[in-house]
Amino acid sequence: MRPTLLLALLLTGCSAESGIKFDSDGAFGDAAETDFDTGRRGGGGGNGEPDEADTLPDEQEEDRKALRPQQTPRYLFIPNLDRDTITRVDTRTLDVITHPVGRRPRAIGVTPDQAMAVVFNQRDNTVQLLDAEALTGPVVSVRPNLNQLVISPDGGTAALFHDVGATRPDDPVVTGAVSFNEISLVDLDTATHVPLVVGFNPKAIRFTPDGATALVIADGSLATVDLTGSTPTARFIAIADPLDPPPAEEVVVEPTGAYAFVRQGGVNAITVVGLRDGSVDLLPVGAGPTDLDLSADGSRTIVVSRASRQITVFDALSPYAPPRIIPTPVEATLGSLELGPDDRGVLFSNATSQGRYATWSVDSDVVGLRGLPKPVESLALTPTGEGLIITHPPGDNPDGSTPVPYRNRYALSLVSFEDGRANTLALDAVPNGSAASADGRYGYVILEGRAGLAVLDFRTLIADAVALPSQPVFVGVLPDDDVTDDDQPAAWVSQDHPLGRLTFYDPDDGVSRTLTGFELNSQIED
Amino acid sequence: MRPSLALLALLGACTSSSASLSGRWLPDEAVASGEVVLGLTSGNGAIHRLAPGEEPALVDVGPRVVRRLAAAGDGTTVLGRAERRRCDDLRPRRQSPCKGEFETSDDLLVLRDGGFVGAFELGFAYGDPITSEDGRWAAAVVNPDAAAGQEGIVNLGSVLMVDLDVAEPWPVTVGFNASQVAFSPATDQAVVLSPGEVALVDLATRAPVPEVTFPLGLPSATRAQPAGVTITDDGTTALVATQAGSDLYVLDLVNPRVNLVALRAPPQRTLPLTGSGQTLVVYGQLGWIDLVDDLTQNVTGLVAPGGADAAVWRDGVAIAWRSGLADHVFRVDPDRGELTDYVLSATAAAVDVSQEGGWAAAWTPGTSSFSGSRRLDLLRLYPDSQSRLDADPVAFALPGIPVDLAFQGEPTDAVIFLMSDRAELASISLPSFEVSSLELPTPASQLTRLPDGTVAAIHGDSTGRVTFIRPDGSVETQAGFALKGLFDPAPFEETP
Repeated sequence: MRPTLLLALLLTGCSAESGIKFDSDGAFGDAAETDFDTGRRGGGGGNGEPDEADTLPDEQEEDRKALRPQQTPRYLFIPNLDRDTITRVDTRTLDVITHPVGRRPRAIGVTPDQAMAVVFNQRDNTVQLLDAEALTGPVVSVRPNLNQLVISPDGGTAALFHDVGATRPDDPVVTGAVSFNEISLVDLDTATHVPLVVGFNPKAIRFTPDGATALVIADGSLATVDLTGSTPTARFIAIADPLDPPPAEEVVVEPTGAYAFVRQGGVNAITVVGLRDGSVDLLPVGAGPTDLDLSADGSRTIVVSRASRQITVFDALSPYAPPRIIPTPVEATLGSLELGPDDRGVLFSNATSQGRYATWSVDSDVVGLRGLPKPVESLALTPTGEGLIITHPPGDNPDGSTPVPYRNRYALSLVSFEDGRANTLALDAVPNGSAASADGRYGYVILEGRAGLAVLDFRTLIADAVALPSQPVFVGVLPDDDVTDDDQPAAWVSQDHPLGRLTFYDPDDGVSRTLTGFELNSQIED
Repeated sequence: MRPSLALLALLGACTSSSASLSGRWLPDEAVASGEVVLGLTSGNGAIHRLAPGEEPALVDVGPRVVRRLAAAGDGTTVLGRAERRRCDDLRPRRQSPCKGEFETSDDLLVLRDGGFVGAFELGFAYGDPITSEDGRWAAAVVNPDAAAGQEGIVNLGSVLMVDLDVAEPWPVTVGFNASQVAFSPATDQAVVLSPGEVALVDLATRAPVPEVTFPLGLPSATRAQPAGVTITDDGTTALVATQAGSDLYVLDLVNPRVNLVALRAPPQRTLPLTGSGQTLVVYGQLGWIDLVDDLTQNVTGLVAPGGADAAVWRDGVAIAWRSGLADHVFRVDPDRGELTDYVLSATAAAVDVSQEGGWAAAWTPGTSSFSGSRRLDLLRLYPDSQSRLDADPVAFALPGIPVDLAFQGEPTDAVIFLMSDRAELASISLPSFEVSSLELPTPASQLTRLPDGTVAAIHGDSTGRVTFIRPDGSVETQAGFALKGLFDPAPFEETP
């Protein structure tokens, strides 16, 4: 599942305790995967069996908030794109300070040891390597026309590239000769920069767990970069016809780094790449593969083929062994898979207007179908996998089964995975972000244009509203500093305000506290 | 004259370099200084010390002509503004006024407990000082209009801080055109407001530059103009209201940080509620009173019909009202987050609250601003009572237009008021509401309460007259004291 899928990402990625990334963080040691920000999951075609589902539109994926905060157990870093500052929140004391950086801090990454915050100043074409405590450090120039930043899992390298799918309307216009084949690698220990040319239109950069190798995925090619030498060197592996390469859609890398699996648009197979020997093969998966995942331990590679209505499960370390194939119900179209930490998952599709989803477990051959009052726009599991949060678009079920109160309105469903109990809430605006506590007890949703926070209790499936002083931008949950007590960590919501605004909401006592104007703190003279 | 009006008078006029031999007792300048009353005579600018059981006396302040007096918040410290005169004419000054070169300077006097502490040259460029509640510190900001007419260079980006214990000033460089100063009630620090910034000044070390300067906006944007400031009772936080803005700037004075609290409207006044951990905010005619938690900055709203623009904090209870136009008086209990609405029997221009906070009087004095009303509402403000009856004011019809009012006794056991052109003083016992009157030899124009609960009635007699009404009901009148020194020539300091 791609990390940028709206609610899936936010529900999991915003909980630092869960150890899951906000965005492409580059690590694939723990069932890591990448699904590129093309905004679609292709339907069928090519060499698979044709099916009426082939005519459906792509599975839609959204990334409403490309500019994401970075959270560590100690600090939360928020880039302030328009103010050329970053805000650092001490998650223990809630002390907030704002620090000036370069122009247009487009992204922030934090090294795994939390000692360094890497700020990508897009307009300056620089990265700042800031000591997380002192907020001081060197500035390193990088190549122009980049928009993505990932940090290697060993904290030794920052990689930057240009993802066409992640372009924002307000990104600076690059004039003159513009490359779409370049990446920048920055050694975080020596503060040195090495530019590299890779395949056209790189979609993602992943690292081996030891940080020794970077994997750059582009349309039609993979590049492996050896980071152990004094100068990084790239090796190219062609994964498609170089004359007409299909767009790369999704890639997962099994945890040992032996194989990468790539889903490409319009190809009714999965490409398996031997990263050690450079081998490339196609693995048939039926018509219209629309999702690619790894099981929780990374031992199995799972492909959902919407057109041929099947799930294909490979042994990730023996990809050429015969896969297990599980048919999906003909009563529903299922193109996306969301897996929980226990390998129980949910199948759904947001390419159709059906109000249905299905439950499934990686070890099971049984797919159980469930109904919904409205079609699915996005679906995510809570960090523990015990609850579902489903957003629904204004459109209704085509068979007229949508109850009247939900018709022509956005809606949100809280669902118990176990028994399917659901509380569907009619909304007057589109959900714009969400987060959940690491223990899955509470979820938080913000709505576009609404100065409020919806607090979702996944134990009771009750939702309450908390007023905010201004419109929310990001929502997250602070780390739980003591998982043995019953105290829940506070949620935080950053909001639109020219001088910066954060609200902390404590679900234990229902009290919220708002800090406003911390942008001014950098202007204090003492 | 009521203390607040006395302070306004001090802030208003400017001194004159010419002196007149003719003079008279200035009843409106009388202020309490501990257990004594200090008053002025015009012409010679002498300060008279008056106390029950003591002979009236002059206070020696050197070769100065005192023009104005104002009381600090501690009830014992008094500041005076005076001319110091110098003359190089060595002829005996008793024979003639100065015939040589004549110079004057503008001095600030410090008096405490009726005695002279010291003085220094303040200068005409400075406005009248603001004092700390404990009477320990004062600060004078530059009056740009006055500074423009002065000789020499005036630093418009400075304030003059004053150690009132020793009457010594020192300049502190702050933002341009400083407008207000607030003193910490808990630490030797002050904050100075200038357009777009707030300076935190260390008073203990007499530092010439601020410890910290807080911005009121980003450099890239128009910075806010401060409208008012208060400091919480623990001295850790300053609350700055800005003109035309509904954000309250909360400045952490310990770990310099800025937080903005979104209020429902631009505040008229903020009042730290000492010991409660909250600050009261009033908005003028907007019908809300808010409590801001000093720690979390969460805002609790209380409906206050008609709104409020004035407030006092006494012994666990905050009292708020619309000054000049009060139909309601509100008692706010910050611990309970509750508001009690006292509906007055008539619109009142003034609300006075007794020293310990048990009583309030709503009334309309006959002044140049108000035509006066013969109605008086007395309000019980017992902080622990929840009886609905407490919210019913006790209304009185008065035989004349009241001109001043004071609470007598320690603790308060009566309210005393003066009426226009009447040589009598009326008293209402509390809590019995028994009414009595006391004939005075001449009409009085002002009441001043001394710390022991004695009330001094200041008469307008040109030769001076004060009547002391002790809490036990005994009365003592002192008169004619203003003649002392009145015909002495104005004092000069020789300048060889």
